[in-house]
Amino acid sequence: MNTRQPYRFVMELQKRDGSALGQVPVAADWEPAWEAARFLALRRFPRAAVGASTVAEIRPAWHETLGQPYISAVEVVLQVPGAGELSCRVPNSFFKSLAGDASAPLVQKGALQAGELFNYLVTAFPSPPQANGVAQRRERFQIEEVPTPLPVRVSLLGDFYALAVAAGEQNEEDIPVFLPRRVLAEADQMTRDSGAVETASVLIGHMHRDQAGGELFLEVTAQIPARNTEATATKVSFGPETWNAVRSALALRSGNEQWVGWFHSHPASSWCNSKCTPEARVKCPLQRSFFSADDCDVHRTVFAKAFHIALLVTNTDAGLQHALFSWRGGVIVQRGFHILGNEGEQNPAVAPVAVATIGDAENEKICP
Amino acid sequence: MTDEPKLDILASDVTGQTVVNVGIDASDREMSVGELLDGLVPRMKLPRLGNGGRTLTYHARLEREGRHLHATEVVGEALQPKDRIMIQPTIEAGGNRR
Repeated sequence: MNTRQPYRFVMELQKRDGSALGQVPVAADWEPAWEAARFLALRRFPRAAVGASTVAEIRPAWHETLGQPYISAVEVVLQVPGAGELSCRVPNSFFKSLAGDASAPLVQKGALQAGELFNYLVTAFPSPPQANGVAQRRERFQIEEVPTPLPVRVSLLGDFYALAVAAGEQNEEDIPVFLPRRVLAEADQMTRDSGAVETASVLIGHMHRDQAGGELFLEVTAQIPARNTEATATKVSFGPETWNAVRSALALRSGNEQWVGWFHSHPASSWCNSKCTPEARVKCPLQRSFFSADDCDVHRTVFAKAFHIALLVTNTDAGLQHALFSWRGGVIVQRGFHILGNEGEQNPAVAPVAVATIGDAENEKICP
Repeated sequence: MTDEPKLDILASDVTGQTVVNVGIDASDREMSVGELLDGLVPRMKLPRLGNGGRTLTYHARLEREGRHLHATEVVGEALQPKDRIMIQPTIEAGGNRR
């Protein structure tokens, strides 16, 4: 994909009272935004190939009330040869983690208190043309993307809906995701069995295209426990041995299944101070469902395709809570899903779904 | 310049869903696997830094031999044309309690 960025972006930080804190240039990791547009093209143009001849450009969507140079979003505009043009909206929350990083020096300087809320605005300015005669650094090797089309099965979405129940809030921007009751039960059991330490697995499955309406949807078929991980009460480490074990298990299944996401647990009950009263434990932030900054790193590093999902099971005093996350417009969000019944089962029980926070540190504080 | 042809290999991420062809000039075969990885990771759109600016670690697995390449190995000695390497991160998920 041939990417163009005719604008540069600058972030303005402000205190909640509107007083200025400063400006920082935006050095964003744009890949999730490009990938969101790439996947939207796959959804809209079934026969189109998004390859080297596809042109993608990031353009500002000017702020409705503040106007230029402030933006409310960016648009990734994709021109797919032989298919047409599409635009993928990337919200300003895309810049949230950058704002967090930019605030750290302000806390060190005392301009912001630790934990103090602040606002950020993003502005866009045309990039100056590249100066002629600037020496380009010689690359020691050339790389060229090898097209690896995702295998897509043709199926009837209605057949899946007929055997499933919805869990969590559904958003029409998301592709439908179907999780078998069996896979959820296995994740639940792994969470219970691992007790006070975290556990994880890789989710595998198939991408389908609805024969009737043409929409893509994702079916999880199984989970492969992440062996050779190093797990503690608060983290699980994935390394080369983990990935190799998953690949070997996948090859043995020979079902042409794809990596579609991952699961991990948070043993929240074990994190809480055992001396706290039951009432205090219920209110403890550690008992809530949250997708940590480290979880976001795993998702970005390994599960960066727009259709990749992350299942989190939080073991709370009130029982197991489930939350599913995926990409939407280049940003990791919580999303709804559908639970597929076991064979012959018409109305599978709905798993408890918790409302989660993402990437914030609020839930990562040590229990008082 | 040498008359040796370019060394072409394939590199993929762990999911196998992103694959690139890597063409290494004959004159650059003396670079180390670590240098290759340093250049390859960002160009495969893999992040170098995680939250808080911590550096992420990657390894290269040589499929032909079923082993991980050491960062100090020389590309021209370890790799052959049409070899396939897999770029694998070591990374942590979890509650991240401070």
